[in-house]
Amino acid sequence: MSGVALYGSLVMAGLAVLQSTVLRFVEIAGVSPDLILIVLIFLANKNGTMTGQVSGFVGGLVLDFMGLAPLGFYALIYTLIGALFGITRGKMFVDPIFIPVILAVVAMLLKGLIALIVATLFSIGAVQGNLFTSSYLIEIVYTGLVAPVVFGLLGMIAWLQPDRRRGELT
Amino acid sequence: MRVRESFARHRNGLTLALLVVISVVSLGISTDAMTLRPTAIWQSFVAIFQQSASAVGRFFAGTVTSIRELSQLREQYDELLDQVRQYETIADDIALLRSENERLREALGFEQALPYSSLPARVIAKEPGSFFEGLTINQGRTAGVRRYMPVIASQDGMQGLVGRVEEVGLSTSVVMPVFDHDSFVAARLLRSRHEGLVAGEGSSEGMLTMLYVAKSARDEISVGDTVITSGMRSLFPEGLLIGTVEAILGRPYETSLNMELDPTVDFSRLEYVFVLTEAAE
Repeated sequence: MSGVALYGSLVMAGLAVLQSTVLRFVEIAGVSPDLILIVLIFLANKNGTMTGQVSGFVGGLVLDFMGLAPLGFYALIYTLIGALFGITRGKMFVDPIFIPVILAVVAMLLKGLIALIVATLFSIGAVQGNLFTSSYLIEIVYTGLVAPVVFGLLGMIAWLQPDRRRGELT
Repeated sequence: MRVRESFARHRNGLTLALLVVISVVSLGISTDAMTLRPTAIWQSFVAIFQQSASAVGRFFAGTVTSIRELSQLREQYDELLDQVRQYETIADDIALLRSENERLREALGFEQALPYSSLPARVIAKEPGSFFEGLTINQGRTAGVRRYMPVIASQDGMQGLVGRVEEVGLSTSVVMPVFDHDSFVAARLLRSRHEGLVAGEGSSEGMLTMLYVAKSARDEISVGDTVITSGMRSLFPEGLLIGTVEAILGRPYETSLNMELDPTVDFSRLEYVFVLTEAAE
């Protein structure tokens, strides 16, 4: 496992804790943005599939430990999202605003879809009640709006990006 | 050599397959009834970080508030401490303190008035993901909390049902709120005494639903009626407020009435709860 996958996993684990505690203070209508998802798609887009899937797995696993989700639920969802968004590495130009918004919204929709499939396969009743609500819609919009800011902040950290680590970009 | 090359070539796919298998196996085990719950073990570990992050968050929130207040005071000093404003500020402070004092007194009196042994706890975290609604409290196994213990709260002088303890760690526990999709509570209408089952609708924005109320009770029930726990073959003791009737739904072809309830507890401003330590099985 590469160093960035290891660091990425640690970042995701820390974010999972922040998501449940500090992010309560920035809730809109009881909803906070999915910071873990934004960081995950950033890591996957910049570093590829391996980093994406490993970071997603670790972040998801920590989420599973902290609440009522059955163990493996978020781990599976974020692993798949990390792997899928890893494929986008080097295949698109990520501008400061629009692409982060689009990536975040697509990731949120994908998260809902995978959650629905997993919930159906494993008879987890709680998911549908929370998926088809205005809260999830607000979360999609909120996450999309926050994504450019998070991408901008993460873009300043060189070790999260292999190109900048190698000094190819300034 | 060829195996190694093949492994290197398919490294991403193999790792993904491994992670997916681990997740799926965990899900398979977790969604069945288990005696050994890995989530409870890990929760204890993660709780350390949750509590620390929660404390840091509160510290910064407090600091920001303090700085703002200091800045206001300095402005007032520069403007030769306008007497009227000063009195208003003092009056506001007194009102805040009085309100806080009343709230604490209410909680204290509430705890003393409860017919059950209870353990006060603070809500330190909410479920971090989007699909579940657990609340993490700062009391766990070492304080005597056990799985399925009822959790209640006092708001505006009313004591309402919050939910039940679902996962217990060493120093924290996860509470399944009454509006959770998997929550079912044996209930009774306070005035007409008809019984039913209160089920969660799975979202904090939704209401509760009271199911299986006898259709013959239609004329005896009206909007605004209070619903309490019945205590019948239930984890929850009798007489805890659950909510009030918001709407009565009964179609001609159905054999029973369903009702929408407005929960007594406002979950969006839930800070302190009480775990009923004697009422559990």
